Amino acid sequence: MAASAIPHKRVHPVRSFLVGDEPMTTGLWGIIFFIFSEIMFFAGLIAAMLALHSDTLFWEPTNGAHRVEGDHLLPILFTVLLVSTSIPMQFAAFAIRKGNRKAMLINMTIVLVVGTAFIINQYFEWSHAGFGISDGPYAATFYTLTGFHGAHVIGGLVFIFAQWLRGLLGHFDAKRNTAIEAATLYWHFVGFVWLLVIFPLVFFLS
Amino acid sequence: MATLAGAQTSTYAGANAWRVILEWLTTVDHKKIGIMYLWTAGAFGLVGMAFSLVMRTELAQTGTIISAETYNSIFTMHGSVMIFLFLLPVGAAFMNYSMPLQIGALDMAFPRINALSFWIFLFGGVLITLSFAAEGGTASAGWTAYPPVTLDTGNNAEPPGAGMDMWLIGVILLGQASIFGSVNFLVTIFKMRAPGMTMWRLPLFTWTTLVTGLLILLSTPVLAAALVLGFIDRNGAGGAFFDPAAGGQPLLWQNLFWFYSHPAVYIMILPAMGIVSDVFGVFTRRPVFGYRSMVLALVGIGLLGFIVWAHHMFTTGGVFLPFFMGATFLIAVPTGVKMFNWITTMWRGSNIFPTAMLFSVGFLMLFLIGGITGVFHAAVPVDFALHDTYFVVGHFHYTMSIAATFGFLAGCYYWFPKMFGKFMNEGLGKLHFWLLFIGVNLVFFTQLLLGLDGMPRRINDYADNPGWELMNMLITIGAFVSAAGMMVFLYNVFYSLKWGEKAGSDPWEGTTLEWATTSPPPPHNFDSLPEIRSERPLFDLRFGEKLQDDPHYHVNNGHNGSNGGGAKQPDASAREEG
Amino acid sequence: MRAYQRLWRTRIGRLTLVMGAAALALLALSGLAGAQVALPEAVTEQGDSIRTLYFVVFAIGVVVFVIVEAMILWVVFRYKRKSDDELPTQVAHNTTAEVLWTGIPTVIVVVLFIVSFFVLQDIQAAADPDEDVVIVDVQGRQWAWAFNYAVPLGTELSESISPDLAETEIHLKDSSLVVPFMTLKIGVEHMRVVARTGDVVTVDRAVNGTVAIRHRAGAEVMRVFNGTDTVAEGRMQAADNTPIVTVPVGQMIRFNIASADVLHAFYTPQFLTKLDAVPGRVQTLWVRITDSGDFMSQCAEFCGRDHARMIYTVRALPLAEYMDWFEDKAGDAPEPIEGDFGGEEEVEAQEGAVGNPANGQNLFFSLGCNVCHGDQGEGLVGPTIAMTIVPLDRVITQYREPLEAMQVFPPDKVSDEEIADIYAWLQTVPRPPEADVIPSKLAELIEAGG
Repeated sequence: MAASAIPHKRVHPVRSFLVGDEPMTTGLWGIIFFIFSEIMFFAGLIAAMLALHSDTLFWEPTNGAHRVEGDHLLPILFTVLLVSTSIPMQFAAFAIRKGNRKAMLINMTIVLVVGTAFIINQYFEWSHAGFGISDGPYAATFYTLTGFHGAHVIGGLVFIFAQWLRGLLGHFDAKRNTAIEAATLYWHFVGFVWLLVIFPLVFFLS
Repeated sequence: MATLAGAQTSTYAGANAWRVILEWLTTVDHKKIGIMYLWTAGAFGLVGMAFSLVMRTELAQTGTIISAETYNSIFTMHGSVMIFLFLLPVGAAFMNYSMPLQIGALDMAFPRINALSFWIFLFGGVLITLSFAAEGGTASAGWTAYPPVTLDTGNNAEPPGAGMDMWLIGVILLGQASIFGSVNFLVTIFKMRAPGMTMWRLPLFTWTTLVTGLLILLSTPVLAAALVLGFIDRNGAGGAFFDPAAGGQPLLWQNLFWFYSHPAVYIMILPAMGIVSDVFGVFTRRPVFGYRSMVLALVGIGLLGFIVWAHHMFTTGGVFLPFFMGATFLIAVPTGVKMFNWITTMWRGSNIFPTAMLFSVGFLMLFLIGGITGVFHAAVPVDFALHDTYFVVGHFHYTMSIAATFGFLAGCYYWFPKMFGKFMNEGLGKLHFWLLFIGVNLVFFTQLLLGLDGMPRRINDYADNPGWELMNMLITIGAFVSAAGMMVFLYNVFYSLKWGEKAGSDPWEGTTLEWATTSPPPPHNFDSLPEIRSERPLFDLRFGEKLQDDPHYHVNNGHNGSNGGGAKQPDASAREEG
Repeated sequence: MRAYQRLWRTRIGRLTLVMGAAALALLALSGLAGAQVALPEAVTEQGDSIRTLYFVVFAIGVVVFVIVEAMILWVVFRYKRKSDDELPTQVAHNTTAEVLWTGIPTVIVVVLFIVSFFVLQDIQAAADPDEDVVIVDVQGRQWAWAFNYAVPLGTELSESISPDLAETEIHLKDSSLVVPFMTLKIGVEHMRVVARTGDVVTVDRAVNGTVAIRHRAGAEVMRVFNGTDTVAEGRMQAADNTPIVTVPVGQMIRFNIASADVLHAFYTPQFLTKLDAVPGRVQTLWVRITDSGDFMSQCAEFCGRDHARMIYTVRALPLAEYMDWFEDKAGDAPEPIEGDFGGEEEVEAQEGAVGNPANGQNLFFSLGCNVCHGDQGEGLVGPTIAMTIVPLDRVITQYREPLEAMQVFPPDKVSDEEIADIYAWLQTVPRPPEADVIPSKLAELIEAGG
């Protein structure tokens, strides 16, 4: 009774924002479930970091390496950059929902460029960390968390790049755009997790 | 229908062997993948059983036959193989095979990812088994792999070799396969149901698949995190995660590990519960009593499963005991509800007892012992006495190993006609049941008694306690009786594949949709579907007319409103898809 | 007999009889096998409480088991399909029944929870503050146990620490933190607290690593002596001798349980309890023993190759006998120093050590020294002894009256000459470079005043 009374078009605004008004495809369902499992993976790693930090005998790198204050600038800059690429990615999704493939490609290009820059910066961070992975719990969690996050960023970039190529070849329109919606959701997740990863890492060191 | 089945047989007969093999290797058909899971897991199960026989031979008497290192590696591999390569994938096998059929779907939501899951699983399994060839042998710290004994750090006198790394990587791969599989199951259940198949009309096995899928989805990644940390700890971090000498915490592993591995117990037992629920529904000709309370109990077990992990750690001194004790006690309630529902399903039923039903009844009897001994462990002070003794070995074998295996064997006998178009031999089946039932009780009940007497688990000799000899000998005899039972089963499988009596599309008078198609089903599963008005569409078809006047006989046709809101949501989403 | 015959006539009666006979047979069988369906008789007050709780759970379990199993058998034997077209009732739910079988188990488990909670409080209770307690340091290591006893400072035993050991002061962040007297774990080495004033604790050696203080229960800072007796009657102990921990009957005993390497568990079946030895933590187990006797005990947490051989005996003596033993033992207790003889680099190796290195090498392996000290004497559980600089006579003393957890080697097992051979061989094996020692966190810790 109530079920049949629901108008077909009434969709929750948040849902509408995230995945559009069309019925969700199996692919989109799949990526949402998959993101849940990824969240649990990072929850496990972050919980391990918090547990270690709360109850370890020594935390900071055992070789005595400490970051200087100024060093925080670059990570913060790239954090802001990475998280803000969620905006062009969402715009790409908005664009393709309206069938505007060109705007989608432009927005995705921004994401690809900034994402790649983020990865390059991560490489820079690693090579200038001043401590190795075996230098105690902080060092080990630092490399593990940034490493796994970096791998997820790279995975996301590869996926977005593949969709970007498909877009160039004329794939996707207002009706068939599951891959773009999926990439968008995944990219939001990658940015969100970075906040959860980077803040403890930065604050626990100081 | 008949022509379709005929066409399929002729393809098999006409194709040459290589084409058949290639077809199986490249298949994305959920039924073939399910059958491949079943064969592979069955083979691993036999390997695991062989390990248990080695252990029992060693423990039959005091003194040692094999070295302590070998024993440690064998019991580790027994646990790992049985859990990761037998119980979990056998569940996956049935979920793959039967769930899409039960909801009237054409295939899984992501058939290719489904195939990928299987191949990742197989690769991980082979990697773990191959570790026998690794330098230093296999992992040998138990399937729980508690650090620091797994670590390559200075304080550990005998650090394990490459086998430990192969184990860690192998289990990560198996976890990944599980996660892909669970996404697949969940999306299939949410999106691929046939018209009319609302959530409250799902067969109970499909419900258990759903809850199992959620458990896998949310818990396995945490295990992956633990394994990844363990691997890094051994290869680079030098114990910074789990060895206190390097700043780590051994208990951190245990928390992460059990956050997965307690739900994993339900991941193993829930599909078995689903199978016996369906079997009871068919062979009693009654609706499964309290269908909705069964579903609620399932969900309740699933939810509680996430907050009781630390009951494996009562004696570590590192957990908050009262909370985990309370939560653990509470699990007895939904479990009890299920038990009473099953019994009441048989009550005043029109029961027949083919082998599938025997195994289901056996499941009840064994699971009851497992459940009651679980309450002993929930009481923390009693657990202080029983933890890490043979009592806990008996307890968890009764629940997640033997009860689950009985459920899965019921599934084998129940779905074999569907899978291969032939019955399994009933005479051999009954022999199998009795040998196994007597054997496992001899093994595991005696283990409970041994545990009360204080015999610790994971020891390869008990020379200082000659009082334990007779009980250990009984256990070994029981183990070999059980193994004989499984040999009968193995023979039965091959015998029935070759000479088994032909089964029609619906040999058991089944109630759920998988029996509405041919045996074996065509690649696209269904040519037509009956109307779905309850969780027993085929029962309605067969007996609906006759039962019209029975005031207790309900089909959900036309009065969804009185059945509560549960049906609304899926209806809406099903419409959305159309 | 008549009654049985009458019972046999009905289907249910037959069922009952068969079940009863089967149960009796099972009981007889388990009785024959020496099994009993109860936990062992407890020899501690705490164990008694646990055993009582066990019987409560057991009684409920048996009742539930019998009722439910009888229900299963009843429905299996009573309700069978009689004809092919028989259709049973389609009753699919019954709210009263469902509420009952949800409610009753809930009540049962809530009651069990409450009872268990109070038993838990009871068995974990510490001794009264003014009560005399016996404190035993238990250290599990692969694959043996060491038991050290604490003696309050201020007795005649509290002589100062061996002068050739550096003393270090640790300033505690929190002066209310009670530092255990027990072995503190530092990296791979150990040290002991020797004194405490306010928030300054003195330990006997400063070595690389960090002090692992995880102790919260209260006790005075104490002096320690090694109270491990051994007896060569256990057949399985890795070190051939079963360590004995001697304790009095009637006193509260505090076992401080720690581990030197991996996880172990302190498990005495007659105590009806166990507690894991977790490296990096010190955990407390309180017991009051009620019966004297020797109680075989065993490590209960898998700890590697020889886990099965990690046996020890708890010897409970009447108080008077215990006091005799204690004075005897404590009176001539050696200094509780670490058996690390490789540390003092100033000391020159004794020159002209005589002995046959080849024979020494054979003995080193046949006696099993390599199990603890490594195949090259590089040190595993035991300290590094390759190219040891400890004088030979001190080494011989160490064989006869070992400090720390090393097993005793009486002269009939290895003669002085043979020790000299081993000593000679040890001078020929290269001393490994200080491999991956954890950088000194202790120094930093002290600097930081933390």
